[in-house]
Amino acid sequence: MPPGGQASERPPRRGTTIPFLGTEDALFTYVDQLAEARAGQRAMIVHLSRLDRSHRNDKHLQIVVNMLQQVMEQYPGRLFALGKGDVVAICKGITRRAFDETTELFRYLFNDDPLAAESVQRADFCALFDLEIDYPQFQSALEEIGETAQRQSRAAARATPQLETSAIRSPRIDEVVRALARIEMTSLVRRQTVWQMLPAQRPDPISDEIFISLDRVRKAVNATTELTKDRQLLHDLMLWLDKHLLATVTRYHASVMRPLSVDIHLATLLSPVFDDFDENPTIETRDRIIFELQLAELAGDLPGYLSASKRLKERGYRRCLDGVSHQALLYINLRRLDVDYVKVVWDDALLQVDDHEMRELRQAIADCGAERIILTRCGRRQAIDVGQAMGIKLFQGWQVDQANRS
Amino acid sequence: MDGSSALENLTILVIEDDEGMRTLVGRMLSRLKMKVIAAEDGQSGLQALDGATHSVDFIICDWNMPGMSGMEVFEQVRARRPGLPFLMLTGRADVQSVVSAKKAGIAGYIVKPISLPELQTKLSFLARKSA
Repeated sequence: MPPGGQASERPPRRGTTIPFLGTEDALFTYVDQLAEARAGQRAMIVHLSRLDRSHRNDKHLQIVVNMLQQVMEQYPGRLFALGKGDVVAICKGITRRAFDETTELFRYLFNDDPLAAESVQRADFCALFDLEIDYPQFQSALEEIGETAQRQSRAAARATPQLETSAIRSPRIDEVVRALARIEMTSLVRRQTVWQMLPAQRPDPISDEIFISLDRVRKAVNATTELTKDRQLLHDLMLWLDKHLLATVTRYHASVMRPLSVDIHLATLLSPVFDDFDENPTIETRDRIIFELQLAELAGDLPGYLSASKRLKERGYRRCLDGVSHQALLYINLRRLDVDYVKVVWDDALLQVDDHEMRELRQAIADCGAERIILTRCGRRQAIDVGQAMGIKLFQGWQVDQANRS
Repeated sequence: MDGSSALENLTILVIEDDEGMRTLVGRMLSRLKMKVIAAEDGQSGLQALDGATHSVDFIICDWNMPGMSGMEVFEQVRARRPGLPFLMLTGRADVQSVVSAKKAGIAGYIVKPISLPELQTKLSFLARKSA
């Protein structure tokens, strides 16, 4: 679950990474907000979903996003990559000519696709809207996208295999799953960045963790449902949510700017759900996926953990051990565990460590390899200062996101 | 595979300095039953074009190569064989590169990594366009 408790909801700065996940809801909210401030706003919808199948993969989505990001460096605006593969760009001050030129480049790149051909009506592939005039038409186009996405979501929910029957199963899981199937799951997926932060240098984002906030799930399902009090329900629900996270990784891992990490449960890794997932990433892109396992799961099932970890390594994925306290850091031989990253949980007690303890922590971090340690759940500015004093270079948490994106 | 018959027995010159990529592209094209001539740089590619016993029907060329770049190869090819379908293979998907390729008149632009269906679709399009 979320290492920093919550993801930053702040809009990105111009020219920085643009949100990529769960963007349908963000788009609709943004467009609603624009209703009273449409002056100078123009929008483009690139309907990749309408192109030939060979043009509807993550690579092409990434190309379109990259190019639009470059165009948008000149203008304030937002970019939304939608679940079914369409991309929406909304910019203030952009000229019609700049949008037309971009459209022509897309037509050139996809010139072998019948729908992108010059002879076909412009609106079929790239639709342009002057929001001062065309706002109602733009809303209609988005509603159509939203309805299609909902249909697909419902179809996916129907197609989602039932939870594997286990000997013990919460009687309430079906009820919760049915409630979740009625909502847009991508809206529950959140993202948090891991930053490399070296003294006197600009922070550098190195990977993004995606997770589903249980709090959001609870709100989405029913505010009165106490998910965490029913341990079996929680367990079953976690496995069900893991499936959706894996589906999200499958969809986006090859197209996003940075490697994606995903917090996953050991039971999922050892199940056929993971086998199904593993058929999708190519050998080249597996290195862009980091699986995070909790130290508590390692302690609960060491043989299972070692087996899963070995398999992940053989298949070319990267591995991260999450949930390591600073005290545990002193006692665990992390080199022997052979993981790519270790997440050490920030604890306010670290503000109180004496010189001797600090030396021990520094040594433990150096022994493990400082480039592999991520100080996570950094909820206060001092966490970065203390972490850097310990020799840590990688940081994660809502405070870090907030500081680096502001 | 659908549409492969349109490409069958056509000759394609592959100019790519990366041996692994050259081999991969060659294999894909062989699966489309095309005759493949491979060259490891622009200069030897142009020599192969001039000296080929079969008439070359397509060229697929990497953009980034030591010595002569893909764009320079394209200029030379256009001087020798105007209208010969030329497919630029590149890792570049930035606006400036796409604008440059479009302005230069390169008929096909394909971004790495490539897949067989995508390659086949691009080549079939070029074949139809040049017919």
